[in-house]
Amino acid sequence: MSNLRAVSQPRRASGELASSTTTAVDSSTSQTDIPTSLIQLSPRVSRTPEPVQKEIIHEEEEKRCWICYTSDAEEEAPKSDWKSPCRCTLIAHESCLLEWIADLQRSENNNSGGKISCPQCKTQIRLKQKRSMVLEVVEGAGRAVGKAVPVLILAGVGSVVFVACTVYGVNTIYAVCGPEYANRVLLGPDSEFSWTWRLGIGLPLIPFVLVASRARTFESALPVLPLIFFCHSDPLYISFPPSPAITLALLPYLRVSYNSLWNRFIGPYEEQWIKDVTPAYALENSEQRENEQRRPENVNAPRERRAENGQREEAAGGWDGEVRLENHNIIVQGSNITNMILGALLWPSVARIVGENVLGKWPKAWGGDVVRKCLPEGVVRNVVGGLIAVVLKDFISLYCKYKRAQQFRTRKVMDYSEVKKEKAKAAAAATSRR
Amino acid sequence: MSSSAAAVGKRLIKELASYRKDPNPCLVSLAPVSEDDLTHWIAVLKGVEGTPYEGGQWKIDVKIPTNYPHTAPTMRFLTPICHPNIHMKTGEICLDVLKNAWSPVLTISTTLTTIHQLLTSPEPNSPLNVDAAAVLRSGDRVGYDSLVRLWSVMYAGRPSNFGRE
Repeated sequence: MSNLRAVSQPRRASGELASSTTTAVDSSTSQTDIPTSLIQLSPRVSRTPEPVQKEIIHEEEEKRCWICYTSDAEEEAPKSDWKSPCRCTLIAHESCLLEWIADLQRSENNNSGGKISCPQCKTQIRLKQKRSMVLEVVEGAGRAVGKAVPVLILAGVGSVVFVACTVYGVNTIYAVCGPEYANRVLLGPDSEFSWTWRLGIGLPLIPFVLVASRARTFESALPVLPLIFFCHSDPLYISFPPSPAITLALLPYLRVSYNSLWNRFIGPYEEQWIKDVTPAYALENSEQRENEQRRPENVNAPRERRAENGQREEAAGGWDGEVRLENHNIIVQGSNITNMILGALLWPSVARIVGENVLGKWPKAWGGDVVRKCLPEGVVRNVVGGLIAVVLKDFISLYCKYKRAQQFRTRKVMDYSEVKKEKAKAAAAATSRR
Repeated sequence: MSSSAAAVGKRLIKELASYRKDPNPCLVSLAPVSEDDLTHWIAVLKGVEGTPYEGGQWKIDVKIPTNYPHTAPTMRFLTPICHPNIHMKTGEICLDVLKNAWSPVLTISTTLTTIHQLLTSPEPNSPLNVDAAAVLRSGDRVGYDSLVRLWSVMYAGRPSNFGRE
């Protein structure tokens, strides 16, 4: 709304005008000032110099308050001291000034930090007032609180997120490990809860780590994490029915090797199937873009990554996203991200369902005893269940891609005559059934 | 309250006297609507010479608040005017001295001078008249000038053959 550039000039001019007409202290300067400023404003007006001069001489004799506009020559002038609080020629009654300052402080006490300055020369107007320690402390505290509000809000939101993540972390540990082992992890050997830094940082980190484990960016960093969080209570020992701690610690390494195996042996087929269902123009676009993005060290990385993302993050609909990627980049990416986050956060529950209900209740006739002997601990069963779920999902989505590609390769457009024939056949069948 | 009202009246009388003694060259006239009510004035603004506003005259409605001069007077154009910072229908003026940059040093007459100067230095980045601002911002000076001229002729009494003789 405010109109700074347009106004800066006018205001200067009007200020000049105001000062020179209202208060003139030095007659020689103001005499030259007024006509020039008026002439600047309006060159056409022809003004005789005499009345101006007369007025200035008249005004020079009297003091005029710039707030109430009364001069001391008038009888009804307020009985108050004259004050000249700033460098320029403005003078005013003390009572008028005080009222103006009170009005300013009431309406915009935060704008200028409580400083009052002359509207014309911008000199700070200083007030002499009794100092009160209490008042200053309270006002200072008020200002500090005002400044701290955004920080406090941020801290509040942050702690809400922290608590939510911690609760999720605890739930995840109970889901994956089962109550017994979870108690051991969380409470320590003497079953006494103490808030250690491992829990304080580790628990809220769980959802982030789960989500991050879906993104390729952190692949190299993740294997380090379990070393930090599992080396404290159980010493890591390697045995055949693997201990829970070592299972969890091995998880990231398993993931990395699984991914690289997948890319090595299955990736090329998958890529081919995706290509088969992608329109030619989209392929060209993506190739072009790849050429632009291509960096010397990883020539095929973008294609691989996209292929992998499609397979990882969208179950059967992966191919769909691939095709649209060219034109609706942002939308598809958005849904990919939500899919990814949801999938990552749901993984512990899925792992538990598979581990408990499928592996734990595997029928004896099909070798259920062997499974339970190899994986005696509930935790390990859950983790293996989660792994199985991931592998299953990947293969189902891979199979869908394969099927889709097959469909695309063999499909044909029907001639309308064929369509008519088929319709007639269907109608005949319907009437004969009746 | 009555004492402050009296103070407002006193200052307004002073301003009026000062204007009568030393008229503002930007204005054709400036006076309260009636002698009884000093808080409502009507001003007639002259178009700036050498601009498409030249020759036009615009009525401006001036309302003075009860805590004048601590608060700015409310001003709006009664005569339609084509200007990026003035609303075409309501006549509202976007000018900082009428809002937060107001100070008691300004008088009604000097405030009208700033409005007069706003006519020559429009600020198309904070427009109230979006169309005029858009024309100006597109750099079509000729189009903008003729738009302003048209409005000045249609509403502000600018002679249609002004400047052609």
